[in-house]
Amino acid sequence: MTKPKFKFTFWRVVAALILIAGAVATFQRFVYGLGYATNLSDEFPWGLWIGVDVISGVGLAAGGFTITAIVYIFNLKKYHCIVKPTVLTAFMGYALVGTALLWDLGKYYDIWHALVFWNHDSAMFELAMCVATYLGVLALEFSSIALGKFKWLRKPVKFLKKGYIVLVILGVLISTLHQSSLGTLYELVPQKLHPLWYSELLPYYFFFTAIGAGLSMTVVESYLSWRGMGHEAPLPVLANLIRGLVVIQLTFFVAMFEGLVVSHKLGYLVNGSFESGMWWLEMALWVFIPTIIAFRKKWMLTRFGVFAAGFSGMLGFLMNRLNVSMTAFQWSAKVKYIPTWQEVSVTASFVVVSFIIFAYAVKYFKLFHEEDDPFESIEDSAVKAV
Amino acid sequence: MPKAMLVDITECVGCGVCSEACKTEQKLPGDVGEKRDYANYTVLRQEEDETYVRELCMHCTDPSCASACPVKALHKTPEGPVVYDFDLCIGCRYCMIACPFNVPKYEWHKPIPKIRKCVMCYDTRVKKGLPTACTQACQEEGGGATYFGEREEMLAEAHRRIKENPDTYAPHVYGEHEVGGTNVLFITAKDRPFDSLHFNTKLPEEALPELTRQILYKIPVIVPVWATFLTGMWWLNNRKVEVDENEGSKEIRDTKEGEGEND
Repeated sequence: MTKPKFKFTFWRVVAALILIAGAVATFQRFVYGLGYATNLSDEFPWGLWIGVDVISGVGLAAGGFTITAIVYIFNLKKYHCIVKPTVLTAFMGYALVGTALLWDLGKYYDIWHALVFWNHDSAMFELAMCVATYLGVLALEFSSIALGKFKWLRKPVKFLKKGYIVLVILGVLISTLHQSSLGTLYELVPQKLHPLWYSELLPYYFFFTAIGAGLSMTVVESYLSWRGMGHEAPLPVLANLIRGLVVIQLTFFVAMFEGLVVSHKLGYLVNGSFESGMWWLEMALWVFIPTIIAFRKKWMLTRFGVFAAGFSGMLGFLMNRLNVSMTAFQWSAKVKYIPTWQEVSVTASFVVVSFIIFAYAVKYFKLFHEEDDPFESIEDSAVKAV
Repeated sequence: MPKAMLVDITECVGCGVCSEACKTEQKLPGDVGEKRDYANYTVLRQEEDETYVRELCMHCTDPSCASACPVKALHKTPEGPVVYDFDLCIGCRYCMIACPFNVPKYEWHKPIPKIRKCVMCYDTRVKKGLPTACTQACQEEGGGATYFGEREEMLAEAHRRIKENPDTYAPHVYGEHEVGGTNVLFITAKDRPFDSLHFNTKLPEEALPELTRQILYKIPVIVPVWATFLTGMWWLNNRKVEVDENEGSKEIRDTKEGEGEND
């Protein structure tokens, strides 16, 4: 067999350049320290790496618990076709969050301390425990989906499939805890966060909107794998995910807006400040654009329309998490933080790596093919277990 | 009993022996700086009209940094100081985010950085019953503006001064109630109240870690409820399928029987 020739395409060259920059930045960060490679300071200790790689990354991987809950707990079987790629995204997402954290931690080699030296008062401790446990749960979920192709692994896989519903419920439970904990992190600093984003309900907002993030991410990745690899998830299924996203975002918007009204914060929306601009941009991407698209029947019948709504929702989510972790914090820190090329290239490298892993895993484990192994399908075992 | 430091801003002459004594005691590199950082645990902030304000860790009664730290690398000692253990620290910097006074600083220039902050000379002095290095220097060589003792005594002293000289002092002890109370206390002149000296006077009287606790302590209550609901929904929704299937097969049976009758 001859090896297929590696072709240089535009995107491959871009990806290679990003990875090279990321490698140089990585060298600088670990050899010369965070001060050399980043624009972080005593005034602004958390930047792009925490904001994007961790706080947003965990949210964007929320599709794992959202879609498995829809399919296995709420028994909406028509969404089964997207379970496999979504679980892969979640597993890969959490693994990359854990890895990316090493770049940001000062004593990265002691990362395991968080699992050993407990502090029950710390939202960060709770977050660490949950992310670690959930990574384990996702590894099992993914194994039961993907490893059936290996003959010698069939017994343990069969066993896992029988207990799949336990994994799903565990996944939802743990996700509830840590998606909200990301918001709890900021409950401690009411005086440091801009009033437009600080709320006692932040943990609830973070959990609820993570569901939306999971849905929009699923739509985006389905579109991209269709463009890139020709795998097709049925359009009506994806369009319904967008409708779900819109319901979630509108519900959140009403709750959040009520909060602004009762705490007399509406003035901040129209004072023309940098923060108010960011807030409006966030809401446009996160709430308004997906809603407008979802109510245009014509647009929702096209792949691009559905993708645009999902992509806008995803960007809006990203903006929200970055606004909380950076814009709102910068307001009180009174410093301007602009990430260095090292910070940007490391974050971009993680995105590139996730694209590569996703593409290979989809091919290797045939994730867009429906169940065709000789075992009973997961639904059957779920029904029998009742 | 918890110890505390009292700083009488009206008595400070701005000589800076406190910062120098701190450098020697804590073996911090370099000359005394203008801003607090990894090498300056305490500095003097000069306001207009020759008023000097000491900046140092407030050693909160219920410290945000200690509650934020996922690994308990920062903790409150019974004697009052909030201390740091580098061996436990993972370098996440959540303490820096959490601190209402922006006290913890980081060794940004090092590949393996430490958190650096005033530890109220815990190991070298306070544990042995001695006053902090800055207090001793201030009393022996400086203007005598920083005092050290039991927190109760320091509070009583502060209130005595305010009561006896109501024309000199502003009627407020900063740190008595701020964020649940602190182990560093300030009193200031009447014509230079705290908000004019860049103190954060908008801090709540409630200890900030309570904000996190009231959420985190709900978790053990929420988990069983949520787990029961999710399992229940799964049972309910999958039972429906079973019922549908059974009824479906009955329908098929009926039509078959019907067909049989026609024959």
